[in-house]
Amino acid sequence: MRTTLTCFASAICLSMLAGCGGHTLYEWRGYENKLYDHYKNPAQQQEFTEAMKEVVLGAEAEGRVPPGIYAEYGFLLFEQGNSAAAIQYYKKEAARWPESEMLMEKMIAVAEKRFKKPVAPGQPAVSVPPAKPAAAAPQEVSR
Amino acid sequence: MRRFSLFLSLVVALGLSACAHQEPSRQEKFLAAAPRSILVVPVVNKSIDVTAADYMLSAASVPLAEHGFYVFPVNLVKRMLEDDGLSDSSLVHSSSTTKLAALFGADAVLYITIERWDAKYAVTSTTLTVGASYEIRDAKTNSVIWENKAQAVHQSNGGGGGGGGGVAGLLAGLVVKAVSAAVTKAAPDYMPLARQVSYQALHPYPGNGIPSGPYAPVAKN
Repeated sequence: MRTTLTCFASAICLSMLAGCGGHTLYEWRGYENKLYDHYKNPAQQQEFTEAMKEVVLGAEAEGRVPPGIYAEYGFLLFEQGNSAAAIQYYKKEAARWPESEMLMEKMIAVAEKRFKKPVAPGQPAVSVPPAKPAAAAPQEVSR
Repeated sequence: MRRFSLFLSLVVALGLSACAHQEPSRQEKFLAAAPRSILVVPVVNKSIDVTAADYMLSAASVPLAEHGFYVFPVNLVKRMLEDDGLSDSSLVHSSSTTKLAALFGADAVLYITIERWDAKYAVTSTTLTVGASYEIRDAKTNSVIWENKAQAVHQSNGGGGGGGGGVAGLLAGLVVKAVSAAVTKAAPDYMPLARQVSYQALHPYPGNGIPSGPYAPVAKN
Protein backbone atom coordinates (compact mmCIF):
# COMPACT_ATOMS: atom_id res chain seq x y z
CA MET A 1 0.00 0.00 0.00
CA ARG A 2 2.73 2.32 1.04
CA THR A 3 4.69 1.42 -2.08
CA THR A 4 1.70 2.08 -4.31
CA LEU A 5 1.17 5.49 -2.75
CA THR A 6 4.81 6.39 -3.05
CA CYS A 7 4.74 5.35 -6.69
CA PHE A 8 1.65 7.45 -7.22
CA ALA A 9 3.27 10.44 -5.55
CA SER A 10 6.36 9.96 -7.69
CA ALA A 11 4.27 9.79 -10.82
CA ILE A 12 2.53 13.05 -9.95
CA CYS A 13 5.81 14.82 -9.26
CA LEU A 14 7.37 13.54 -12.44
CA SER A 15 4.44 14.47 -14.62
CA MET A 16 4.53 17.96 -13.13
CA LEU A 17 8.21 18.17 -13.86
CA ALA A 18 7.46 17.17 -17.44
CA GLY A 19 5.46 20.36 -17.73
CA CYS A 20 2.03 20.37 -16.09
CA GLY A 21 0.90 17.97 -18.77
CA GLY A 22 1.91 14.36 -18.52
CA HIS A 23 2.39 13.59 -22.19
CA THR A 24 5.45 14.75 -24.04
CA LEU A 25 5.72 16.73 -27.23
CA TYR A 26 8.24 14.27 -28.71
CA GLU A 27 9.00 10.58 -28.59
CA TRP A 28 12.37 10.47 -26.80
CA ARG A 29 12.82 6.70 -26.39
CA GLY A 30 15.26 7.10 -23.52
CA TYR A 31 17.61 9.50 -25.34
CA GLU A 32 18.77 11.05 -22.04
CA ASN A 33 19.66 7.65 -20.57
CA LYS A 34 21.40 6.55 -23.73
CA LEU A 35 23.48 9.70 -23.84
CA TYR A 36 24.33 9.23 -20.17
CA ASP A 37 25.36 5.61 -20.82
CA HIS A 38 27.56 6.83 -23.64
CA TYR A 39 29.34 9.35 -21.42
CA LYS A 40 29.72 6.67 -18.77
CA ASN A 41 31.25 4.21 -21.26
CA PRO A 42 32.68 6.37 -24.05
CA ALA A 43 34.57 3.46 -25.62
CA GLN A 44 31.33 1.73 -26.56
CA GLN A 45 30.67 3.76 -29.72
CA GLN A 46 28.99 0.90 -31.55
CA GLU A 47 26.50 0.36 -28.72
CA PHE A 48 25.68 4.06 -28.60
CA THR A 49 25.10 4.16 -32.36
CA GLU A 50 22.76 1.15 -32.10
CA ALA A 51 20.94 2.76 -29.17
CA MET A 52 20.48 5.98 -31.15
CA LYS A 53 19.21 4.01 -34.11
CA GLU A 54 16.47 2.65 -31.86
CA VAL A 55 15.63 6.20 -30.76
CA VAL A 56 15.38 7.44 -34.35
CA LEU A 57 13.33 4.49 -35.65
CA GLY A 58 11.02 4.47 -32.64
CA ALA A 59 10.41 8.21 -32.80
CA GLU A 60 9.89 8.08 -36.55
CA ALA A 61 7.31 5.31 -36.19
CA GLU A 62 5.40 7.58 -33.79
CA GLY A 63 5.84 10.59 -36.07
CA ARG A 64 7.30 12.62 -33.20
CA VAL A 65 11.04 12.84 -33.82
CA PRO A 66 12.66 15.29 -31.35
CA PRO A 67 14.82 18.16 -32.62
CA GLY A 68 18.47 17.25 -33.10
CA ILE A 69 17.95 13.48 -33.08
CA TYR A 70 18.41 12.82 -36.81
CA ALA A 71 21.62 14.88 -36.74
CA GLU A 72 22.88 13.24 -33.55
CA TYR A 73 22.48 9.81 -35.15
CA GLY A 74 23.88 11.00 -38.47
CA PHE A 75 27.00 12.28 -36.76
CA LEU A 76 27.62 8.90 -35.10
CA LEU A 77 27.35 7.23 -38.50
CA PHE A 78 29.82 9.80 -39.82
CA GLU A 79 32.24 9.12 -36.97
CA GLN A 80 32.10 5.45 -37.81
CA GLY A 81 32.97 6.17 -41.40
CA ASN A 82 29.52 5.81 -42.94
CA SER A 83 29.36 9.22 -44.64
CA ALA A 84 26.65 8.30 -47.13
CA ALA A 85 24.19 7.30 -44.42
CA ALA A 86 25.25 10.29 -42.32
CA ILE A 87 24.34 12.66 -45.16
CA GLN A 88 20.88 11.11 -45.44
CA TYR A 89 20.19 11.80 -41.77
CA TYR A 90 21.62 15.33 -41.95
CA LYS A 91 19.19 15.96 -44.80
CA LYS A 92 16.30 14.62 -42.75
CA GLU A 93 17.24 16.95 -39.89
CA ALA A 94 17.40 19.96 -42.19
CA ALA A 95 14.09 19.11 -43.84
CA ARG A 96 12.29 18.64 -40.51
CA TRP A 97 13.86 21.59 -38.64
CA PRO A 98 14.66 24.74 -40.64
CA GLU A 99 16.66 26.04 -37.63
CA SER A 100 19.25 23.35 -38.36
CA GLU A 101 19.70 24.09 -42.06
CA MET A 102 22.90 26.10 -41.78
CA LEU A 103 24.67 23.56 -39.59
CA MET A 104 23.42 20.63 -41.64
CA GLU A 105 24.76 22.20 -44.85
CA LYS A 106 28.17 22.40 -43.17
CA MET A 107 27.96 18.85 -41.88
CA ILE A 108 26.91 17.55 -45.31
CA ALA A 109 29.81 19.38 -46.96
CA VAL A 110 32.29 17.82 -44.51
CA ALA A 111 30.81 14.34 -45.01
CA GLU A 112 30.77 14.71 -48.80
CA LYS A 113 34.38 15.79 -48.82
CA ARG A 114 35.39 12.66 -46.98
CA PHE A 115 33.15 10.48 -49.07
CA LYS A 116 35.06 11.85 -52.09
CA LYS A 117 32.56 11.22 -54.88
CA PRO A 118 29.19 12.85 -54.23
CA VAL A 119 26.33 10.59 -53.27
CA ALA A 120 23.39 10.22 -55.60
CA PRO A 121 20.13 11.00 -53.81
CA GLY A 122 18.37 7.90 -52.58
CA GLN A 123 21.47 5.76 -52.89
CA PRO A 124 21.59 3.16 -50.13
CA ALA A 125 24.02 3.61 -47.27
CA VAL A 126 27.50 2.43 -48.14
CA SER A 127 29.96 1.34 -45.50
CA VAL A 128 33.43 2.72 -45.84
CA PRO A 129 36.33 1.86 -43.55
CA PRO A 130 36.32 3.89 -40.32
CA ALA A 131 38.25 7.09 -40.71
CA LYS A 132 39.50 9.60 -38.20
CA PRO A 133 36.65 12.01 -37.41
CA ALA A 134 37.28 15.06 -39.52
CA ALA A 135 38.02 18.39 -37.94
CA ALA A 136 34.63 19.65 -38.94
CA ALA A 137 33.18 22.97 -39.79
CA PRO A 138 33.75 25.52 -36.99
CA GLN A 139 36.83 27.55 -37.56
CA GLU A 140 37.79 29.80 -34.77
CA VAL A 141 36.07 31.21 -31.76
CA SER A 142 37.67 34.20 -30.24
CA ARG A 143 36.58 36.55 -27.59
CA MET B 1 -2.43 7.04 5.10
CA ARG B 2 -3.93 10.37 6.03
CA ARG B 3 -0.51 11.92 5.93
CA PHE B 4 -0.07 10.65 2.40
CA SER B 5 -3.33 12.25 1.30
CA LEU B 6 -2.23 15.48 2.92
CA PHE B 7 1.05 15.23 1.10
CA LEU B 8 -0.65 14.56 -2.21
CA SER B 9 -2.94 17.55 -1.89
CA LEU B 10 0.08 19.68 -1.05
CA VAL B 11 1.95 18.41 -4.07
CA VAL B 12 -1.01 19.05 -6.33
CA ALA B 13 -1.57 22.49 -4.83
CA LEU B 14 2.09 23.38 -5.32
CA GLY B 15 1.95 22.13 -8.88
CA LEU B 16 -1.11 24.18 -9.69
CA SER B 17 0.29 27.33 -8.15
CA ALA B 18 3.49 26.78 -10.08
CA CYS B 19 1.48 26.60 -13.29
CA ALA B 20 -0.38 29.82 -12.60
CA HIS B 21 2.51 31.90 -11.34
CA GLN B 22 4.29 34.26 -13.71
CA GLU B 23 6.74 37.09 -13.39
CA PRO B 24 6.93 38.82 -16.75
CA SER B 25 9.77 41.11 -15.72
CA ARG B 26 12.18 38.18 -15.49
CA GLN B 27 11.15 37.01 -18.92
CA GLU B 28 11.07 40.36 -20.71
CA LYS B 29 14.50 40.18 -22.31
CA PHE B 30 13.96 36.61 -23.40
CA LEU B 31 10.60 37.43 -24.94
CA ALA B 32 12.10 40.41 -26.76
CA ALA B 33 14.91 38.26 -28.22
CA ALA B 34 12.42 35.44 -29.00
CA PRO B 35 14.98 32.76 -29.89
CA ARG B 36 13.70 29.77 -31.87
CA SER B 37 16.84 27.69 -31.51
CA ILE B 38 19.15 27.12 -28.53
CA LEU B 39 22.69 25.83 -28.62
CA VAL B 40 23.63 23.95 -25.44
CA VAL B 41 27.40 24.06 -25.06
CA PRO B 42 29.50 21.75 -22.84
CA VAL B 43 29.04 22.29 -19.11
CA VAL B 44 31.50 24.08 -16.83
CA ASN B 45 32.07 21.98 -13.72
CA LYS B 46 32.92 23.61 -10.41
CA SER B 47 32.66 20.34 -8.48
CA ILE B 48 35.53 17.95 -7.96
CA ASP B 49 33.74 15.07 -9.72
CA VAL B 50 35.22 15.10 -13.22
CA THR B 51 32.41 13.02 -14.74
CA ALA B 52 29.72 15.50 -13.73
CA ALA B 53 29.94 17.85 -16.75
CA ASP B 54 28.99 15.33 -19.43
CA TYR B 55 26.34 13.77 -17.22
CA MET B 56 24.73 17.15 -16.65
CA LEU B 57 24.84 17.88 -20.38
CA SER B 58 22.85 14.73 -21.07
CA ALA B 59 19.95 16.10 -19.00
CA ALA B 60 19.55 19.47 -20.76
CA SER B 61 18.03 18.70 -24.17
CA VAL B 62 14.72 17.13 -23.21
CA PRO B 63 13.31 19.92 -21.02
CA LEU B 64 14.34 22.62 -23.51
CA ALA B 65 12.92 20.81 -26.53
CA GLU B 66 9.73 19.94 -24.66
CA HIS B 67 9.26 23.68 -24.07
CA GLY B 68 9.21 24.19 -27.81
CA PHE B 69 12.74 25.13 -28.80
CA TYR B 70 14.93 23.69 -31.51
CA VAL B 71 17.81 22.27 -29.49
CA PHE B 72 21.03 21.52 -31.33
CA PRO B 73 22.26 17.91 -30.85
CA VAL B 74 24.43 18.23 -27.74
CA ASN B 75 26.79 15.37 -28.46
CA LEU B 76 27.42 16.52 -32.04
CA VAL B 77 28.08 20.07 -30.81
CA LYS B 78 30.44 18.85 -28.10
CA ARG B 79 32.41 16.70 -30.56
CA MET B 80 32.61 19.49 -33.15
CA LEU B 81 33.97 21.89 -30.56
CA GLU B 82 36.49 19.30 -29.38
CA ASP B 83 37.69 18.71 -32.95
CA ASP B 84 38.14 22.43 -33.16
CA GLY B 85 40.38 22.57 -30.10
CA LEU B 86 37.62 23.79 -27.81
CA SER B 87 37.43 20.86 -25.44
CA ASP B 88 37.87 23.18 -22.46
CA SER B 89 34.33 24.21 -21.62
CA SER B 90 35.40 27.28 -19.64
CA LEU B 91 37.04 28.55 -22.82
CA VAL B 92 33.78 28.00 -24.67
CA HIS B 93 31.83 29.81 -21.94
CA SER B 94 34.15 32.81 -22.09
CA SER B 95 34.00 33.04 -25.89
CA SER B 96 31.84 35.51 -27.75
CA THR B 97 28.27 34.22 -27.88
CA THR B 98 27.73 35.89 -31.24
CA LYS B 99 30.69 34.11 -32.85
CA LEU B 100 29.92 30.79 -31.21
CA ALA B 101 26.27 30.92 -32.25
CA ALA B 102 27.26 31.87 -35.81
CA LEU B 103 29.21 28.64 -36.20
CA PHE B 104 26.03 26.65 -35.67
CA GLY B 105 23.38 29.09 -36.83
CA ALA B 106 21.86 29.34 -33.34
CA ASP B 107 19.65 32.16 -32.04
CA ALA B 108 20.81 31.78 -28.43
CA VAL B 109 23.30 29.82 -26.34
CA LEU B 110 22.64 28.05 -23.02
CA TYR B 111 25.57 27.99 -20.59
CA ILE B 112 25.31 25.54 -17.69
CA THR B 113 27.65 25.64 -14.69
CA ILE B 114 27.64 22.91 -12.07
CA GLU B 115 27.90 24.49 -8.62
CA ARG B 116 27.38 21.38 -6.49
CA TRP B 117 27.80 17.69 -7.27
CA ASP B 118 28.85 15.97 -4.08
CA ALA B 119 28.08 13.34 -1.49
CA LYS B 120 28.44 13.87 2.24
CA TYR B 121 28.60 10.82 4.42
CA ALA B 122 27.48 10.98 8.04
CA VAL B 123 27.18 8.08 10.47
CA THR B 124 23.65 7.10 9.57
CA SER B 125 22.96 8.97 6.37
CA THR B 126 24.29 10.04 2.98
CA THR B 127 23.43 13.39 1.48
CA LEU B 128 23.77 13.93 -2.26
CA THR B 129 23.60 17.45 -3.63
CA VAL B 130 23.43 18.62 -7.23
CA GLY B 131 23.20 22.32 -8.01
CA ALA B 132 23.68 24.27 -11.22
CA SER B 133 23.28 27.73 -12.68
CA TYR B 134 21.86 28.41 -16.12
CA GLU B 135 22.39 31.38 -18.37
CA ILE B 136 21.01 32.03 -21.86
CA ARG B 137 22.73 34.65 -23.98
CA ASP B 138 21.34 36.15 -27.14
CA ALA B 139 23.36 35.60 -30.31
CA LYS B 140 22.56 39.02 -31.72
CA THR B 141 23.40 41.16 -28.70
CA ASN B 142 25.83 38.90 -26.80
CA SER B 143 23.87 39.72 -23.63
CA VAL B 144 22.20 37.56 -20.98
CA ILE B 145 18.48 37.25 -21.70
CA TRP B 146 17.58 34.73 -19.00
CA GLU B 147 19.18 33.10 -15.97
CA ASN B 148 18.22 30.65 -13.28
CA LYS B 149 19.61 28.38 -10.58
CA ALA B 150 18.41 25.10 -9.15
CA GLN B 151 19.53 22.64 -6.53
CA ALA B 152 18.32 19.20 -5.49
CA VAL B 153 19.26 17.28 -2.37
CA HIS B 154 18.77 13.63 -1.57
CA GLN B 155 19.23 12.31 1.92
CA SER B 156 19.19 8.61 2.56
CA ASN B 157 19.00 7.38 6.11
CA GLY B 158 19.47 3.65 5.97
CA GLY B 159 16.01 2.81 4.67
CA GLY B 160 13.79 3.86 7.56
CA GLY B 161 11.01 6.35 6.97
CA GLY B 162 12.50 9.47 8.50
CA GLY B 163 10.20 10.74 11.19
CA GLY B 164 9.67 14.18 12.65
CA GLY B 165 9.87 17.53 11.01
CA GLY B 166 6.12 18.02 10.68
CA VAL B 167 4.54 18.64 7.31
CA ALA B 168 7.67 20.27 5.90
CA GLY B 169 9.76 17.28 6.89
CA LEU B 170 7.25 14.86 5.45
CA LEU B 171 7.08 16.79 2.22
CA ALA B 172 10.83 16.97 1.85
CA GLY B 173 11.19 13.28 2.61
CA LEU B 174 8.68 12.25 0.02
CA VAL B 175 9.86 14.58 -2.70
CA VAL B 176 13.24 13.01 -2.22
CA LYS B 177 11.69 9.57 -2.59
CA ALA B 178 10.18 10.64 -5.88
CA VAL B 179 13.61 11.13 -7.38
CA SER B 180 15.27 8.45 -5.35
CA ALA B 181 17.54 5.79 -6.74
CA ALA B 182 19.83 3.47 -4.91
CA VAL B 183 22.40 5.51 -3.08
CA THR B 184 25.43 3.56 -2.04
CA LYS B 185 28.79 4.67 -0.83
CA ALA B 186 30.49 2.97 -3.74
CA ALA B 187 28.78 4.76 -6.59
CA PRO B 188 26.08 7.26 -5.76
CA ASP B 189 23.70 7.83 -8.64
CA TYR B 190 23.43 11.58 -9.18
CA MET B 191 21.34 11.39 -12.33
CA PRO B 192 17.87 11.59 -10.76
CA LEU B 193 19.04 14.76 -9.01
CA ALA B 194 20.75 16.11 -12.13
CA ARG B 195 17.54 15.63 -14.13
CA GLN B 196 15.45 17.21 -11.38
CA VAL B 197 17.75 20.25 -11.35
CA SER B 198 17.57 20.51 -15.13
CA TYR B 199 13.78 20.30 -15.23
CA GLN B 200 13.40 22.71 -12.31
CA ALA B 201 15.70 25.31 -13.79
CA LEU B 202 14.32 25.10 -17.32
CA HIS B 203 10.67 24.80 -16.36
CA PRO B 204 8.50 27.29 -18.20
CA TYR B 205 5.98 28.17 -15.50
CA PRO B 206 7.43 29.33 -12.19
CA GLY B 207 8.34 32.99 -11.99
CA ASN B 208 11.89 32.79 -13.18
CA GLY B 209 11.11 30.00 -15.64
CA ILE B 210 11.86 30.04 -19.30
CA PRO B 211 9.08 31.21 -21.64
CA SER B 212 7.81 28.65 -24.15
CA GLY B 213 9.44 28.28 -27.55
CA PRO B 214 7.90 28.33 -31.03
CA TYR B 215 7.07 24.61 -31.15
CA ALA B 216 5.26 24.57 -27.81
CA PRO B 217 1.64 23.51 -28.26
CA VAL B 218 0.34 26.24 -25.93
CA ALA B 219 0.52 29.95 -26.60
CA LYS B 220 3.55 31.85 -25.35
CA ASN B 221 3.31 32.89 -21.73
